[in-house]
Amino acid sequence: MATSMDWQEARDKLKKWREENTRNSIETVELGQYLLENYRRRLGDEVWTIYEQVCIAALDCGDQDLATDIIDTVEHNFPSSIRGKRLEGLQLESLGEYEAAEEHYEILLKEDPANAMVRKRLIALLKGQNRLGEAIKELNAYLQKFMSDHEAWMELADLYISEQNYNKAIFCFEELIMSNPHNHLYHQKYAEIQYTQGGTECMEIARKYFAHAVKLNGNNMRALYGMFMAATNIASSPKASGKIKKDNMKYASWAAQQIAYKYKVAQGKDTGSKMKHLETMLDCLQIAPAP
Amino acid sequence: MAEYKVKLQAYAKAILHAAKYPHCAVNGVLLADKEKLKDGRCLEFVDCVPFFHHSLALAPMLEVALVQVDAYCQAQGLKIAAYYQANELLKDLEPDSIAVRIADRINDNSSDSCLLMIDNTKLTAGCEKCVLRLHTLQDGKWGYRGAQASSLKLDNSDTTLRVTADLLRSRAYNELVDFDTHLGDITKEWQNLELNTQIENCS
Repeated sequence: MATSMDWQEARDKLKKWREENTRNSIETVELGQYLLENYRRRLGDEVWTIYEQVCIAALDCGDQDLATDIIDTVEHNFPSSIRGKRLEGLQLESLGEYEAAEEHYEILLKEDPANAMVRKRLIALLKGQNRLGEAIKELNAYLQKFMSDHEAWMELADLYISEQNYNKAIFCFEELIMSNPHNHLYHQKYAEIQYTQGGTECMEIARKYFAHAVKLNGNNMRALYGMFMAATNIASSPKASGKIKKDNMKYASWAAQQIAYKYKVAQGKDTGSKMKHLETMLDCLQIAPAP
Repeated sequence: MAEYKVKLQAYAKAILHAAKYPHCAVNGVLLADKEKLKDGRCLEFVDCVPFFHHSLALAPMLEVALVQVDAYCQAQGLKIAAYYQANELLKDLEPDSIAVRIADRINDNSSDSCLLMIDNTKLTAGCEKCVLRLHTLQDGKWGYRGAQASSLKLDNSDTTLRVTADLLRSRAYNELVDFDTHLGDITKEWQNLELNTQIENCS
């Protein structure tokens, strides 16, 4: 537990969670409180980042008292900081006071119209109220100004996916792939959307992008499974020509081999029973070879 | 109309899944005993396989999960007989089009299957009430028939709720592996055998 951990370890852990965007809110509050109560002086300037992190985690857990304490401390020390005032807005959001939060953010935006953080909160507010159409509109407007915000493109794609507007989600991922062509996750996700869209042409694209994701990262299980599924799907389509069937069966069986191999490595010697349902799965999807 | 009974292991894992990812939507399936399915109008859910917390709406990994769990069920004498989902927003407990689509698909193979929505607002540390809302298929449409008309029961209700509360308190959800986690690291298994033992030991 926190008390037996030395303070540097706790600090490093919080830093890691911050950088990786891990949402361990309960643990963040525990570690953060321990650090802030006992080692505030030793933390140097990092103390303010930790205050911010713990405050957001506290709001996530519904610990309003702790959040209020932190907001007071931060605003006392940085009375004109927009980043500090954002925390106040977040608290209004967590209390469900959406209108007050919106007003609060609008005021901040007047002070600094180019503040991306605040603009994104306004969009999140719409999403939190299930006003997805408006959120999509605002996010599009935001992306016209902040085109290189990858996180925002991903969010927009997710919103489109939840509206089942796959074509527009595909467009978002095309932007992401163009700006970052070596990221296997973008290729994999792009392929997943194409696959969901369905139809011969999309399935072909899906298989190609899954394959590309595998090429960029051979350990991407989603991509391997996806490649297997897409190739199997194409090969079993009644419309596919003999050559297409044959090629895709080859791709599918290659992917199946890779998948089986990964499980073998992962499970070490103990492969027996656990491998069975995987084999059954690969078997029942595999189509009999064409005559 | 069929009656539904949820056993501890199935209930606890579904709740732990929702508790592990409070900020996202989660989904998964409940498994029923195949033998018992035949002889009665009562479906008994004995286990739960948590599926996703990233994106619920994309088809390929869902298909992989369904096929794999199906193969597992065949070996174990079980059957996929319910779909569950907790929505991302706290107060939103309506099944969206994705939920309906997956529930339809499960229903194709298991005619008495149901759709369960997790009521996030009832998901408290004390676990006083059952948080599942039963939706059944009537005239081709999934609908909630109201709390009174609900034919969903927790097996051994008091114990199930108490043990689930204990598990939440001890943060057993940290041990829970869903299919998303499994795809990210295949050394972790979605059968959750260790967690099952832990649940058994608590009761």
